[in-house]
Amino acid sequence: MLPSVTRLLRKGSTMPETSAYYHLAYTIALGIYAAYALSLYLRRKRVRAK
Amino acid sequence: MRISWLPTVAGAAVLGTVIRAAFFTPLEAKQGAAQKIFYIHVPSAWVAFFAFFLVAVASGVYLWIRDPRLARFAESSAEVGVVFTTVVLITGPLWAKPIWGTYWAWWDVRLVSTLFLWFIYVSYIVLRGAVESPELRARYSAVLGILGALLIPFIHLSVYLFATMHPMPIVGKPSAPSLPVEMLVTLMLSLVSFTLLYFAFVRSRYSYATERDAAAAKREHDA
Repeated sequence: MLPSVTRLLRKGSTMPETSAYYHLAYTIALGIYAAYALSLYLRRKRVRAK
Repeated sequence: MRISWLPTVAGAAVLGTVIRAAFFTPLEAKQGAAQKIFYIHVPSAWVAFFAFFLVAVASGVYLWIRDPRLARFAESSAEVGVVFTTVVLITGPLWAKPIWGTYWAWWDVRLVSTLFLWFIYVSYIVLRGAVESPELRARYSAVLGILGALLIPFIHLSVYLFATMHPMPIVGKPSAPSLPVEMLVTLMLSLVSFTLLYFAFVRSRYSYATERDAAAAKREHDA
């Protein structure tokens, strides 16, 4: 655990377990950007082939 | 094989930002890992607004000087803006569920007006596909592109004007950013890298539109 987090926890904070949402959000967002980049590549390839 | 520098730099910057956010930025004590969604949600929202603002500017100038390159730029920026808004509309609810206890609130003006913005620019794309004449298509979509962007300041100010669950701006506000330095650096890096990604997408989308229009003109000439 990173030092700043342990510092915060020592003050009595309790950290909720929310990593599933974090992983899902990053996976979906990066997936959308990658899919869009691929769609641009394929569309340009198709128009050049015509 | 020729490697374009802009997509390479943008891709590396986004990857670097994700690595920094995941491994080198502290967890927020009250929200846990879900707070890190902030580093993709906020820059995606910034880029979406920037993209639609540029659609409005390019559309306005197009209506004035009728240069088809402006219509192609507006078309490209609108499509890229829709992609970024889609990410905003998915990552926001994924943060909201563990923090607010619900994915969505229909009474929340910030959420619903952002959804409206997405619908307006999806309509823009549909409109461009539905009009046959290139001049009419460019003119109609320019008007819609300008009108849609009028929603942007309203969305930004909605957290001040209405009762909303959405957090107040942490950085884009008159006073100093209310964020620890490690988190602020990650946020700034994410804003830069996602803006680079926007330019890489728009350049590629603009090149596609140029090649598509050239191919259509050639077909028309040959026929």
